[in-house]
Amino acid sequence: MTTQNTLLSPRRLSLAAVLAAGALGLTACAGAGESAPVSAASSAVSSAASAASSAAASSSAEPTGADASSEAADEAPLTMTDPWTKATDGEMTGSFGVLENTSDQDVRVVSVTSSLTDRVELHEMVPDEDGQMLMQQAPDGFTVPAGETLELAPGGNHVMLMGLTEPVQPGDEVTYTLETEDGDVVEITSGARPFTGANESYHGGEASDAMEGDHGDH
Amino acid sequence: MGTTDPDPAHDRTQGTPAGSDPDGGDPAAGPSRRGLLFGLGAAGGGLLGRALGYGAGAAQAAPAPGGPAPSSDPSPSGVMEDTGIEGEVGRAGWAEPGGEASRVAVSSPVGTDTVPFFGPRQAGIDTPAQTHAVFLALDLRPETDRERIEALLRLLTDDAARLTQGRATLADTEPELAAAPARLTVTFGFGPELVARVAPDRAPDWLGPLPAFQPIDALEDRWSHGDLLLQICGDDRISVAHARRMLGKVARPFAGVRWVQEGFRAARGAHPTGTTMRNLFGQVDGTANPQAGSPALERIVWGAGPEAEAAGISPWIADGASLVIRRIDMVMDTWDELDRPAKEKVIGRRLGSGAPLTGEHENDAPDFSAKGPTGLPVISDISHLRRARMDTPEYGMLRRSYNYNYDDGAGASGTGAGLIFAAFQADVDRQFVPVQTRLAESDHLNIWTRPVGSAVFAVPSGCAEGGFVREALFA
Repeated sequence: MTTQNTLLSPRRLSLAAVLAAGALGLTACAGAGESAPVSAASSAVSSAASAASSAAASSSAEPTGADASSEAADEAPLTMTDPWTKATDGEMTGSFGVLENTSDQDVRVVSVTSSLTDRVELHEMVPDEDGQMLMQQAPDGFTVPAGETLELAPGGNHVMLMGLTEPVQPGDEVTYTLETEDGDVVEITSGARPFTGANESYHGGEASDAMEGDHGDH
Repeated sequence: MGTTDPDPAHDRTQGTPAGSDPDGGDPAAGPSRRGLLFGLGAAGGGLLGRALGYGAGAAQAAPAPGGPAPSSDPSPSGVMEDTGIEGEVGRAGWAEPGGEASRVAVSSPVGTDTVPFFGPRQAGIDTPAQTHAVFLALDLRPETDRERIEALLRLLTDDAARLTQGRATLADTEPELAAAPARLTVTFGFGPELVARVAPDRAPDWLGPLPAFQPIDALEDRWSHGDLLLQICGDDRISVAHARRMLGKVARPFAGVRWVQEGFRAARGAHPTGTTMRNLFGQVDGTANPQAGSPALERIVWGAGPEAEAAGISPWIADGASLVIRRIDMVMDTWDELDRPAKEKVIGRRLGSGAPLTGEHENDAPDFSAKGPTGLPVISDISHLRRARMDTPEYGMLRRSYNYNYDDGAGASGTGAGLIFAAFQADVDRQFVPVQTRLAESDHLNIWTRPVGSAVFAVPSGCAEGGFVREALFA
């Protein structure tokens, strides 16, 4: 059930959509033996073929890129595994997952957009003068070193969605798009889950009230 | 009232049979000193155990062509050093259920053994019964409609699929507790209200409260009914507890807990594989259960195969079944007043061997016509054995019961111990109700037992990877 979102250059998206149709067909007949949990879990560091099979097995992968064929995945330097978003009745929430850079060059994620809200940012956690960890917009984005992973997790780097006008209910799918400094994009579809953590304070205090609203919601 | 462990030859797990040489010559036998396959980034986590032959990869038959065959290929490039720890049971290896930070030493085969989650039929039914069980019954919140039920089942399926394979859930707050799945299974059952909200026209006739069994029923609401059942079973109490918490947590916005029943059987490896369980009366409980993979089990549980056709049994949905859970208090103190021959007469079997009083071995056929010196039947007409025995072919059930013991305190009154009687069958009305009716009418054992809870669930079929446990209703 690993969700895999594969980075594609914009020019490749239409091709990916065509390939996705085939991949979805595979999903329908994916049996128990199609992909072992271990290989699914490890697909992010293994071959393109297994990454594609993992994507095909995902129930929430977007047709764009997410179900890319193996040949597209060969060239995809950035994937996200296990994306999820904290469900909330409040105005803001965090989204998490594990970014994997399969190339031999560092990849820098510089921006994020979402159809859900205009106010979506890449956030990092930094210590304040008292040593308390506070979140703030990551000035340089997220750099995923060549061949390595970067985990977005509560208490650490995350995608911050603000100014939400509708609750994000458990089970909802939250989509957003990461863009790298090379102009490549990776589409993420993340399932919303009830979670009582991820109550980070905001550097400068602006957003902390809104996050407070999440305390004890679930 | 319990389960005979199915034939080990049909064991769905990839475990090493107890007693096999842990490092010995049989390449398929088990754990090795070779350590564990490296195959994970920080991402998904999971058992690094394919090389050991019992891990998730082996169980799911997934290794890619050219990948390491379970236990047969040292695959040096893929091997991480083992822990250097000699476990009490097998050699220890590393697992990373939630990524590198959650690395935990686990030992084989008990801790690392997995049962496949995905498949046409759900696990936890013909799976040889694990040591621990938690039966978690949920009631849907009023606002949880068809669409939200689908979201709930999708989330639960995803969590169950991960946990049963030794992987943390998404948003897992204690990933380390998922490290040793120990044959963890999660089995879903749908109560009448869930089916009514999703697909009322699919509800089987038998899905609802059982008829009142007079005079024995002493049912309490706190042990009865429910909209959604999660049967969580495993050989390790920690991973069972963790699964219960994570699944309960993800369900909370959709449903509240109606009741929880926790049960146990003998520890894995304490008795030879296939030994019939004992209940807390000391009785061998579950003799003559259908064996996994047998035509009898196909008929009884799944309503499938030629035997089912001949008997006219059909399941509510292909590869689905039904589950009846009866909580049966056992009155230990008055049972203690009986001497051993009296206890054996009540049950119709010997306490030691479980053999019928007319036989020598557990599986000997009882001779109901045999008379004792006084001319009375050796096996009493009101013995549990005699009353429970129905020779009509369509009847039968797979009993998968668990003991419970003083959940509420010290049990000084002699109550509070008993049996969570769990029975799987294709058709509740045709298979379960007739037997229970006979037992309610007359069973000597009724003097010392008291049904305090009762629930019926429709067990949906399983699902393929990428799907979720719902096809039965949402398709």
